[in-house]
Amino acid sequence: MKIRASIAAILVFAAGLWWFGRDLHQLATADGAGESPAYRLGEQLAPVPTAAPAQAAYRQVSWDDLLPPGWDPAAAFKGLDLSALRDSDQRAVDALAQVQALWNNAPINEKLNKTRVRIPGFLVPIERRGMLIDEFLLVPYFGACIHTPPPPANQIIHVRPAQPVQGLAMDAVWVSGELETRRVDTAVGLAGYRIKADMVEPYKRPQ
Amino acid sequence: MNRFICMLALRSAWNRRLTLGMTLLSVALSAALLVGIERLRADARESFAEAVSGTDLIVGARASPVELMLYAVFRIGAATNNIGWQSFQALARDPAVTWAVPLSLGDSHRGFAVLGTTGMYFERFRHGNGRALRFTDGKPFEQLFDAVIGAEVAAAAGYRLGQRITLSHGSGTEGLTEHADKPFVVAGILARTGTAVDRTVHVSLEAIEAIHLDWRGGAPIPGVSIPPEFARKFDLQPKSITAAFIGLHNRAEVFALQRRINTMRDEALMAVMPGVALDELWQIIGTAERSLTAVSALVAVVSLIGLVAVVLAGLNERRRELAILRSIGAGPRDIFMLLTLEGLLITLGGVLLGLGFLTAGSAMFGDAALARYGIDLRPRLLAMDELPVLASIVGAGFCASLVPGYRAYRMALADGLAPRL
Repeated sequence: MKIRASIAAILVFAAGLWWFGRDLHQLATADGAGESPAYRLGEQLAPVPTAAPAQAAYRQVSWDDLLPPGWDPAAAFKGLDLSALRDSDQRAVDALAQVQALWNNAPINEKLNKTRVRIPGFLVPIERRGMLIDEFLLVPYFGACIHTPPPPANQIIHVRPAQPVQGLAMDAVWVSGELETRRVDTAVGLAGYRIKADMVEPYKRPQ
Repeated sequence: MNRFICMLALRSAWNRRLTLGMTLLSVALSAALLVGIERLRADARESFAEAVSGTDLIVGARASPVELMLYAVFRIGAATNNIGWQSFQALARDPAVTWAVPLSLGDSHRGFAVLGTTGMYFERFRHGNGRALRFTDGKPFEQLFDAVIGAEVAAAAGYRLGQRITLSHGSGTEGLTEHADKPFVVAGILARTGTAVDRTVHVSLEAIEAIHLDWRGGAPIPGVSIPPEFARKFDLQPKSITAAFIGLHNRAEVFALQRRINTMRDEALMAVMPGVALDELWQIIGTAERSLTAVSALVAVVSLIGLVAVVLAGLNERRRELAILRSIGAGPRDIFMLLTLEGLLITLGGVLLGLGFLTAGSAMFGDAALARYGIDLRPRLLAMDELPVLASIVGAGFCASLVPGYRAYRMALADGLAPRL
């Protein structure tokens, strides 16, 4: 009788420890950011149609919408049979340099100026305060800019969130806010997009 | 009746004050440890992330980005190669670049890093949330052999303005070759930043050249000594630097410039974005950090088991007491409540005591932690994100006290009254 009681009591104790220990475990494994699913290099985020009422004020746009209509990023490769060229071929090198120059001066879609948009992407922190990010760049594909050639200027959004966000480089997020296009008059600096984000939320991969 | 039981419980607890006191202390210490490690971790991370701000790219010789961050920002380790002065100038002229500050490392003073740079460093360098450097005393260097020292260098050696200091070649504290022939004068003292700047002696790039004028191949040339007054007559333009901080007009252009630097043909250079490299660095350190948290969680578990053991052992001691309580009318439920509440109160008290320890401790040792380890401990009583940790200690303590409560509940009335054989 006594032994049974003790066993029952110890089980209760163990269950309690387990229950409250979960918090500690979470603490030990949390890394500032939520568990981000592993993305492959170059992976893009699928635009999930979400119809929550709070998001109705924002128009969901894709990265392709940021390109002005008619702009062809691969124009420099026209007339070249890429499969027949080797990497060391001067024509390939020239074409790549041309593409790079074209991309750096990529035009932006002025029509989107002052529209309220919602767009998914990967964040690259540029201004940090402790665990919080005050300013970041949003890019369309995973690993952009760290391991691969940078995306064209019209595929980078400079985001200043209203509230600092928690996260690590290359976390997938939804950014909602007013998109501003930035025209450049001086010789320095490229045209580009900016968002003063009202909201930055973690991106959830569709099942 | 209830008040009567409370009085009895208090008296009973006072009777067992030594054992209970020890339990209280062990819970307090484990709570302090758990929360303390959590705070230390958060503060360390904060000081870490605030080491550099407002800089878009850090440029160095092509190697590992983490290594570049370590030596350029934290003054840990050494560069494998330098940047040619020509390449730096080309970079500074790039249309995308607003400002470029050169950094030259490698010498030291009493174990503190010596940084050769330009006056622009004091204008452009930002830490924390865009905070600029401030002088508590003096001004940026003007003369060739002027030095500006960080707050910690000043505090450690008690330096004042106008004091003469000697730099050493290489890093470390013992057995170094001294640049004794060319002493520097302290021209400015910087306010405390909580970053590596506090542990740095800043001199001009020309001064770094000047102290190595009569050196060849890493050692002074025997028999040749160029006195400081003649050093000014030489061409002191640096031939190479160790790293550079770069700021851009348009921050979104950082990727394009980074690509240009990383694929530069003339010299193998590398540019890293501080925000990204800090995250990479943090992920490396993160493993150690997580094991630290795991250890402190284990400590909490052990002390809670200790709590159960103490109360269980006390149960034997209290058999007669509990039996007497039962015989004067306390039901098994009252006994259960009595024991469980006692356990709960002890954990609660322990947690509060632990927080008190921690606050007192960080007030007492905060300065030492900042000076020794560069961790800026922020004194605080309780942060919101610590509540779940504390609640889990109290919750686990409550669960632990259910065990003796349940055992006493099951004990028969006759159990404590029967004479023991």
